[in-house]
Amino acid sequence: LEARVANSEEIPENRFAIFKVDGVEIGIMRSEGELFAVRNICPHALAPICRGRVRGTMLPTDTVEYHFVMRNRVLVCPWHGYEYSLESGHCLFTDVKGRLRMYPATERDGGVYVDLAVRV
Amino acid sequence: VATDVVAERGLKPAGKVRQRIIDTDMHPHCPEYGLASVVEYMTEDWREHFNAKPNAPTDVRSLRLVHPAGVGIRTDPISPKGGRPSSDPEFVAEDLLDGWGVDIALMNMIDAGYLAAAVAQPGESVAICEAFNRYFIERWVETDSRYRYIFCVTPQDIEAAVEEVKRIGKHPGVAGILVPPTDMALGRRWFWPLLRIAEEYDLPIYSHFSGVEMVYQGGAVGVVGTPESYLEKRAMLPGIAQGNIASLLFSGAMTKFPGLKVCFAEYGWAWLGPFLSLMDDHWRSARIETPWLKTPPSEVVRARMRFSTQPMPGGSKEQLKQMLDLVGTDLLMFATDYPHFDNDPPVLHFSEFEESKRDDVFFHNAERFFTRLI
Repeated sequence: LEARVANSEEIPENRFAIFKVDGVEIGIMRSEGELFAVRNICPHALAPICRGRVRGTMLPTDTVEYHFVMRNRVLVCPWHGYEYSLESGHCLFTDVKGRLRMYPATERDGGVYVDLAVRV
Repeated sequence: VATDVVAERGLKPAGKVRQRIIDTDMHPHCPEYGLASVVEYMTEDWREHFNAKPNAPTDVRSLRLVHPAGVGIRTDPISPKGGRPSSDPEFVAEDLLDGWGVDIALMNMIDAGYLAAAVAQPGESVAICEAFNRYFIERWVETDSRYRYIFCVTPQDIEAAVEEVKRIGKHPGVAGILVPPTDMALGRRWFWPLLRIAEEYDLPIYSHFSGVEMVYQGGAVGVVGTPESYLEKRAMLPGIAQGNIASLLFSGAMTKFPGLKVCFAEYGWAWLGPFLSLMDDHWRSARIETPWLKTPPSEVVRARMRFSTQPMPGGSKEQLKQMLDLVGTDLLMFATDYPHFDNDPPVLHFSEFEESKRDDVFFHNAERFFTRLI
């Protein structure tokens, strides 16, 4: 069920490019040699989440200080600003339920392949 | 006489098991307006300083914002000895404690509050708070153990406020620290030394408007500027509590001082449901701005902030039940607000709370929050 979605050079670094696969919008990003494929829907309010920024976040602390972590591993919804981990898919450090739908993505022969039947 | 009248009107709680009551907001006064009753509790230097001012404050209410019926303070609870209403501890013991069945009354003495918040200079505000605190501890707290004192500190000089906590914070008759609202919210770092020592002494910070809000510069400001009437101002007062709650949460003060507790008295409480929900929603969206707030703000409020019941909202029983369901009785502590015009006699409000919650609202929530009461 793996489908070739894009050519390798179409995948940007640390931001998502959006492709349509069997009518489903998938965002694909590369970061430090790793590929991420995410369905373009925020689990909170159905926003096109892959149009949001990719960045890190601030770790919850007991002290009144900032501690920046997870550089380029956080996808921020462009609507409400909810932050999702690109590692777990979960919303970070709040009580928000729901999880990003993420798929395995691989790269070979100059192309990027995504298997929509498998959820990461 | 007063007891007979109260009995005649059926205002004293009755029943096989008497409802225990902690009144978390009642107001004692000095017999005279202004500083006249407390100057003897000042040093000679300060007495002379105030004597030299020909227009020393007597009553700072503005014409614009005074209660239009002239009944801001009830005129009936006056002792045979004379003086202002609620200025004789023996009379109030008979009228409020015995008459309304109040076991413990937290005295919130706002006369020092309005002076300290904005009317007096910073140095004056220090001397004024200390004098009033000395007066009420000696004349009230040390004469009837049912009185407990919310002592006032000046928000204008935070080092002096800390020193006042060190001076009387361990007195067995004190229960909390009154910080009158100003144009600087309670979470601001200016207040942190005071919040730190409040936590250390296990004394809740107690917020209650003093009367100078939206009148004097230095007092808390209105969110849309200066109100034009008493009613407009009264409707805007919950905003002062809301602003201070948001400040305490998002500034990091509640994180920095994990034992800090804050009571908001007489600001109302029915607005808490939507207000907490609003803060939680925006926190989920903007959490990175205040990563020290690790849980939804409402959880911190539910753990460490409390609200006095008075003035109980009007409306139908069904509406009141909806308000209580939304807010939760765990946040509420009963208060009379004696001797103000809108005071709530306890017996009129017992039935407004489910029987299983009544003991908590009228007694245990306050007992748990003001840990030194029992």
